[in-house]
Amino acid sequence: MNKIMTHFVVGFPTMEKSFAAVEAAIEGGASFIELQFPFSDPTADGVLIQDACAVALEQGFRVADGFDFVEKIREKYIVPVFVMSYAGLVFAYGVENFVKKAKSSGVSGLIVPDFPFDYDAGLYQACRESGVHAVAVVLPSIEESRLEQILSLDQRYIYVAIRAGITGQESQVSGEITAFLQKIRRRGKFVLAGFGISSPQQVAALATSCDACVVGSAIVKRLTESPDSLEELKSFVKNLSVAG
Amino acid sequence: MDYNVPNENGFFGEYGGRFVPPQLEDVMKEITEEYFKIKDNSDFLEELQDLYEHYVGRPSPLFHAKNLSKKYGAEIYLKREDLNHTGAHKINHCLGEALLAKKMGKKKLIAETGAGQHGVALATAAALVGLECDIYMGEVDIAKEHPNVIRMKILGATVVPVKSGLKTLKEAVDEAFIAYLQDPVNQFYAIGSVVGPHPFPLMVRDFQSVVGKEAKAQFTTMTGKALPDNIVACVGGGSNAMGLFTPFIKEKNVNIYGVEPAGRGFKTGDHACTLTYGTPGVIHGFKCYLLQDEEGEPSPVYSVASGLDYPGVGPEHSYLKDIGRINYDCINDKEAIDAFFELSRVEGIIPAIESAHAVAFALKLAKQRPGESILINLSGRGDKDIDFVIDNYGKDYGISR
Repeated sequence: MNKIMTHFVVGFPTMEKSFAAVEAAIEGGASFIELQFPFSDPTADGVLIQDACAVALEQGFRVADGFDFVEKIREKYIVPVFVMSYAGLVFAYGVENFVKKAKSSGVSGLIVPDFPFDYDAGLYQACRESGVHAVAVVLPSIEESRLEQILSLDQRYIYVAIRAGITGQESQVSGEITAFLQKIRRRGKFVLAGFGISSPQQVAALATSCDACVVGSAIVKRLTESPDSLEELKSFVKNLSVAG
Repeated sequence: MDYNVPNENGFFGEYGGRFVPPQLEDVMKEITEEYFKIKDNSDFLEELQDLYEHYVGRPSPLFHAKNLSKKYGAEIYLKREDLNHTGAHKINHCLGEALLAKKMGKKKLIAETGAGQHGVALATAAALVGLECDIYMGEVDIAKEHPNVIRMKILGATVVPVKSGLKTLKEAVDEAFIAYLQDPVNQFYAIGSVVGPHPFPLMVRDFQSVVGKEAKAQFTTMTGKALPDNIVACVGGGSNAMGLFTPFIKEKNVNIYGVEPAGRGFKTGDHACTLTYGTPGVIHGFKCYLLQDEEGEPSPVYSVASGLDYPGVGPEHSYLKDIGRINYDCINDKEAIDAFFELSRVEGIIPAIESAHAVAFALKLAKQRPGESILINLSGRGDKDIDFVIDNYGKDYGISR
């Protein structure tokens, strides 16, 4: 039995519509909300999310809007919110300030893929001090010694990108992947599995090997193609969440 | 002052580093390890040396520009990187990177290019060592640098047009990074300057430092003096500048000048004077001075020179600015174009518009420091720029097609 984390780009397709989409996902049974603060150089993302970020930025997204967005969700729902963004944005805000602001806005954890723990500009320390989870992102191809370092970081969550490359391409759930996820889980970590997950079948295949499946590009795709079909989004999430 | 940079983690003071997503961590470590394995290996150095001499045509000459010297009052010397095979300094590091990639078993070289000089040099190196090559180039630059686009295609490379944002260098880097993420195992991203995640700023600098090493020895042979009084190079990402400057950094008596493009003015979007007007930030996997808004978004940049319009700059330049070792100044489009024609008409050398920025600054400096020696890195030749210059500036100089 695993849960669903849904991923949204804040401000895409508009501020209002992204908020409505988050609400639909929560009503559909999403257990975690991941919010991407758009940045012009989203290095780990595929075209869909890149374009969504570009749209949100064109409409004038500011980091302050992102934190307001989190507060609005937290005022209304009991749901953990994770913020995902990139090093350039976090660094410009000031790493410590960003973490403090995240904490005071009700953010549970931060995912900054290009701030790995050994090139983090102080992110992990700031997170420890503020009580915000710093979520490391790992690939199954990671070197054993490096994985050990990450596992010993005293952080509860680990995000596993279940394949190399960028977001938004369909992933096969192989036995190798599930074995890797289970290995991390056995070490007492809460495992978020993402990258290329869009179907109930995939979620079911991962049901016993991760704690939550992250669905990102599939949701952004829906919001790109039919930004107002919130009922459909809700049932899409529902179908995923019952599959786990 | 600590000139022994970067440290083992790739930091030049607070700048540099390796801020990359996990997809690139392993491959960056692998490139670092492999580079450190070969960098002092005699077989590798012999191979590179042989190519420098017989393929590139090194050492490039140092030319005493007597006409300019007489006209402007200082002794002006040109390090003729424009005479290298492919017409610029870029070939120096492209050969190094191509050999490294080949040794690592990579199948394809990929890179961004602004003016097309790096793209042409890399396509050349790829053809020579037998690797495939994809070059990412902004559509604006493709239109402006047509001859280089054709050259890359003739050399067998694929030129991938980049349509996002301002369609220039920054977007080309974005696209090349994304392509790299898709397959870091078979591809090697040969970054075009002393930028990007560790070890690229270090590695590109090392390969380019042949420029300064030669220039230093040539200057002494030619003049009998140990060192020039002043050395000058243009700075976009900063590879030709680090190449010239590196062997002179520890020589306290040498004044070092890096010249940034002031474009058409000092409003955001009109220039690319990163070190002069930027603030520390993170871009493309490293920390450096960056032209950015308060949210960390890289600002739009502009220069008449496609090879200089990048919102970031090499981390070592950022460090050397902070510790006060290098003076950074700006030259605008008009001054660069004036210098382009001046060097062409006074010495019979058509410079790249990028390099013309360094010439323009040196001519100003000459008037302030009569009698002193000024050594300029003439990093590239202007063949690629002639159509653009004629169409946009020809009438100001009394010429048309």
